[in-house]
Amino acid sequence: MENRRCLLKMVDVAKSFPGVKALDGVNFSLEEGEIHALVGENGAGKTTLMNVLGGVLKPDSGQIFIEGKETDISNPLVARELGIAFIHQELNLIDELSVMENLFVGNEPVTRKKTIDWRAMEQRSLEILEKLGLDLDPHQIVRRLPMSLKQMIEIAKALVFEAQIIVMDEPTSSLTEGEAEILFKLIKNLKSHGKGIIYISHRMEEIFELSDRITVLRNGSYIATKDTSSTNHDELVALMIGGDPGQHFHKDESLRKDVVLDIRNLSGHDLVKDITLQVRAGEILGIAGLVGAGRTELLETVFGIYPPRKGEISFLGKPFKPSSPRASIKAGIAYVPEDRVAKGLFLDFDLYENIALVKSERDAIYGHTHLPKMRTEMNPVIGTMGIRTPSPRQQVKNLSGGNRQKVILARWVYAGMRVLLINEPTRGIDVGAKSEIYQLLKRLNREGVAIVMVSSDLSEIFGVSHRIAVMHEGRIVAVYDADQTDRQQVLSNMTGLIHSKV
Amino acid sequence: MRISVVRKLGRTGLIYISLVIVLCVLLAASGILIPDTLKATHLLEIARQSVPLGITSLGQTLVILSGGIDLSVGEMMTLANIVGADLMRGKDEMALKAILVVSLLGLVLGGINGWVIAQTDVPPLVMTFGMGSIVKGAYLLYCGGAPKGSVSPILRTLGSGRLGIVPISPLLFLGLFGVLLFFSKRTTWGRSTFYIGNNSKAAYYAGIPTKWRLVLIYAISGLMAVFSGLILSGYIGIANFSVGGDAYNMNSVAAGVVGGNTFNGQGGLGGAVLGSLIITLLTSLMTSLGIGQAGKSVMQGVVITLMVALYTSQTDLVGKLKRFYKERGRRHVPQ
Repeated sequence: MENRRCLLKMVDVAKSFPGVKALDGVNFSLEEGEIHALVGENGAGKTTLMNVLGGVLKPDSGQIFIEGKETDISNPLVARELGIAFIHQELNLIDELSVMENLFVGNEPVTRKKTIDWRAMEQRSLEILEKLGLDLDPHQIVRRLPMSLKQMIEIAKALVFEAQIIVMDEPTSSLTEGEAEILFKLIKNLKSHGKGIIYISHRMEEIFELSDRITVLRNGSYIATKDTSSTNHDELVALMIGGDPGQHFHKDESLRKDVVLDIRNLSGHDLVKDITLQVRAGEILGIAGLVGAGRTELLETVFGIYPPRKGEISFLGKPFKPSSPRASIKAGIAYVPEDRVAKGLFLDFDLYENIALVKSERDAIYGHTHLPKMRTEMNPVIGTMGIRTPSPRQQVKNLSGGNRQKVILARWVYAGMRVLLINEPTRGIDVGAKSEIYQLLKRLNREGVAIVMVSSDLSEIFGVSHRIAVMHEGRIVAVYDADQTDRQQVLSNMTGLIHSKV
Repeated sequence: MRISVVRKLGRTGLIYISLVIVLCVLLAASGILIPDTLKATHLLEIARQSVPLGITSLGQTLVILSGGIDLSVGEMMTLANIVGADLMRGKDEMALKAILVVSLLGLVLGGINGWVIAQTDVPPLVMTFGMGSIVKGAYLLYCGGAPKGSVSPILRTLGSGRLGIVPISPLLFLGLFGVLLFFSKRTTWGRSTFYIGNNSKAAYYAGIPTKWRLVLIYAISGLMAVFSGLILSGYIGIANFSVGGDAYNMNSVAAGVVGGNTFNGQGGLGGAVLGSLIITLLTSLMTSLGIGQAGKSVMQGVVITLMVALYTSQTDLVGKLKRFYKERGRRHVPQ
């Protein structure tokens, strides 16, 4: 490693957002021909660090050296000119265009007359594809290509503008195992061409297979950089979770009662495979798993968004078929989505309308509803939920994230429910509102509501749930009593490491 | 707890007040420019003239609020005239049957609009425009290119009769308005129009059967269009291709949009009423001033685009209106 050129060095980088220290004295370096993995739990600061590198965020302090020169990356264009490329989880390809058009989109070679130089485009595409060892026709339309090839075209785009530093954020999250193998080959190929690769992933297997070094972040702080050859999985997980015992809430076991929701061998969506789960009244079942493990799809299948194909659900002792959200709501199932703006709220309407509609839709007789009458009924609900707003007539778009979430919860509290499916209950919500939401979940437990909670925040999973189910690639791989397990065990299950050991 | 009047009015109230002011200004202008226009008889005549547009734009406004547009209403109106007059042949005993058949046509054709829009990715603009074209072809075939028949006396009375000096058709309009206002405010079917327009995915997640509601909304729009065509037929008296047509597509959208309705579910049917009055008054004013079809066409285009620009959230019209009404007193203080 000694004589390698240092492509990137970040020293003592710090960045604060109102109320949060997102990065605190983080160091990171990348050499030519190196794959450097960046790991940490959700919220550890990986994304923030990469946003600083990409010129999306301006650091409060610290220095960035590119090939030894101190550099100020003021915006994403500068980053691009410096040869830094980002490959995101979501693909940014235009399905209707050909491979080469996608490679050169926004960057098309031109002739002297300023028209597009198709021949040069084809020529250069062939060169790049060959360099990557991809046997692809540049004229092929992207739509029909498999995910793995699309992912590689995304990477090839980085080579179009001769990027030296390539950041990959969970590149395998949408790939099958075989496809991932092909991707790994390509990444190693890039490495042999001297590119520096920053590899962000939750999957330990991949990290150990690919990387030369691993840097661990936790809660925005720099923890350690290890040579991959001199560390192991257990040490890494310990570094990631640290001595952090997690928040612990008083969990009342006496509340747990009969099984309300009994799911047997449920399959449907591609990411819902043979799921068997029981949820009791008065308990919180936490579902842990990586992004793309099928957690949202599972909740939304039970809620009636995706049709179930196999298996049975019994709800309150009766067989139940979730055919639509309407049917699920009528049965007594509530769902709080992770994307509150897209799937939950009517931003231009006031609190009353946002809260009233579920109940009025569900209970209307011949469609008759009376909003003015409902307003007086809703006032106490808004009060007990602690929604901070100058007036319930306020448009919801003027509320903060925490209050918006409370509005959605108020909707279900007002309507009443037997099972609450809640997805990322506190994502993007400040600390104060968080604990209020936990209090509310507890209150619902006390009233006999069964809660299924999906969360990417392990502290939350451990802090709130009575039992923890772990999902991996569409399956439930383990179910624990929360006090019979620890983060290491859950994390290993999430990342699929336990299975590969077997 | 005292809330300032301006705040209590909210968005809709502010827009309605502003529209009433615009209406008064237009009336004053026509009173000054053209003698005798402020007499009761003339004002009632304006009210009568605005009825066909008013009825059409009630349905159109529901569609707009749900996030769509219905460009088949103009041809549906003509269809009502051609088929209705042919079935009636001037006889009262056939009137009820004719009205029922035509209403059914409006509901079904409108419902098909809604069903295709809900079920596929065809944009409302394309679907309803195509439907308009199909309807036009259908009534041309139906009458073999030469419209036949005439309107029965009862329908004539509804379209052009008077009680004393008060024309009957505006009373019918008020009735329809009342029914639809109840629908839009006091039924979940009507309320969901606004929610679907604002966030159709969230509406679905909240248990609203969005597809069926869209079918209903477009069916109502079709029904209103044929009602409007029948009333207009009652005024004209015979089968005639000039009833309805393209002008009503544009004008009904204009009336809805001028009335403060947005394509994301903000507004209400009251705006459509004020909007159609304003459009009718403006058109009649321009006719009186000798401005031809060309000028009117330009006016429609300008009004629609301007209003959409004003009402979109970025320009924060409501905020500006609030400040305007609050600071009105201060503005007159000499500096």
